[in-house]
Amino acid sequence: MALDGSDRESPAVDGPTVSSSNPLLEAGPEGGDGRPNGESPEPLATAAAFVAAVAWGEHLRVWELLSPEARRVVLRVAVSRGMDEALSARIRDGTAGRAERDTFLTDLVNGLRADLRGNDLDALEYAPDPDPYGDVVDPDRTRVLLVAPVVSAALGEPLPVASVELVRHDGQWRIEHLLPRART
Amino acid sequence: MIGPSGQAVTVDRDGRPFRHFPVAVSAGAMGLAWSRQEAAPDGACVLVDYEINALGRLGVAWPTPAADTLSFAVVLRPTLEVDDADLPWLLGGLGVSRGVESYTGSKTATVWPDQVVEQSSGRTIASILAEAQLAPGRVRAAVVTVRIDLAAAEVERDRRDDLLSAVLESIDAVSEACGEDRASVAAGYEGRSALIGRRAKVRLRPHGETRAEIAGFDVHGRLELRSATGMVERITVDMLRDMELV
Repeated sequence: MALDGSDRESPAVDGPTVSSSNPLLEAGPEGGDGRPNGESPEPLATAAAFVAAVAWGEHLRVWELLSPEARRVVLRVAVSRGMDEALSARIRDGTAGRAERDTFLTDLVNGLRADLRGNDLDALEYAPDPDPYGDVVDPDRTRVLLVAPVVSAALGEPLPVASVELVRHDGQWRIEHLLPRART
Repeated sequence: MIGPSGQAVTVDRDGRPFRHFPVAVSAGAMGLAWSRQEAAPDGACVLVDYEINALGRLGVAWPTPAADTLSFAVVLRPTLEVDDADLPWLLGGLGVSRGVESYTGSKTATVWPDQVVEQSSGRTIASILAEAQLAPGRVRAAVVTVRIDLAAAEVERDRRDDLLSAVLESIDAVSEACGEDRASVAAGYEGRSALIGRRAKVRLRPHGETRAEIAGFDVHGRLELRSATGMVERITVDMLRDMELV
């Protein structure tokens, strides 16, 4: 789900890429990514952890990795589609019952899965967007490209299949937007 | 068997309506036709020596030659609601697993939704195909087609009828239990499942994928997947394209 509903083009891939098979990127539900507590994982690792959490249905981890603004957008969209305002507030405040929370987050995870559908999530590589915002430089905001590797170099450049915008919040990189490159 | 009037001949076999065809399209097709057109009673069985079109779930061909296969279909009329239409898959798998095990002594396991395997080697012993015929709000009948690889089960061809009796008896017992307590069928199937606790990538129909640990089966016969953070997803047989254990 493009959390802002947009469908922006991502620039061609340039620079280093990180494969999701890198053990350093295998952040578990409790953030078991091998880093000391409190240290902010790099954007690439956060993006990879987010995609892995979506793929493996780790719904609480997905919610945890969203930025406050992304959570607000998700809840606003849910309310616009008929979710009860009071439930939205309970989920926002973390006071929702387990069943209602799980139902909501399951729908969210399945929506995100639908956005990533058709891609081999195990083979995705993660690359920094070389030019995320033009001349605007914001050290607390960046974009990561999700790249599908090509079988042979003769087939051309690796193809970005989606991008993830991240913001730094309380010293941690968090997902702001997931932007599917091609929507169906 | 076909009688002089062109109709299939029904005989009594151990108190069970029974039809035997040397050749047929498939045991399942004959069972479905008997059930739908002639109201075959609960427990009615069709045995086919040679199936022309021995297809399982999603049209996958049964690979074992007919000479080495025990192919039959059994008509079941359990009291089930439409939501329980997947339960006959568990019922058939559990019945076949127990029946083969009781006859051969080899430990067997179920692989949801359609296989029974040897527990130690994982070799496929049998395939199951459950097809439900629906009536308003309920399952009118379920036809469970079973194909057993006699070589894999280590049963000689001339002991085929004994194996058939053992498996039918087991299916009857599970079917009876299903009428009293559906949860017992799911629990029994789960207890024999080779998949519990395994992490799986499940490709879905018409599209999509989900991944998680296989946690069990619910009372409706659906597969339950549980993620590391406790998200539970339930997959019906119709939703399943294929599954890869990782």
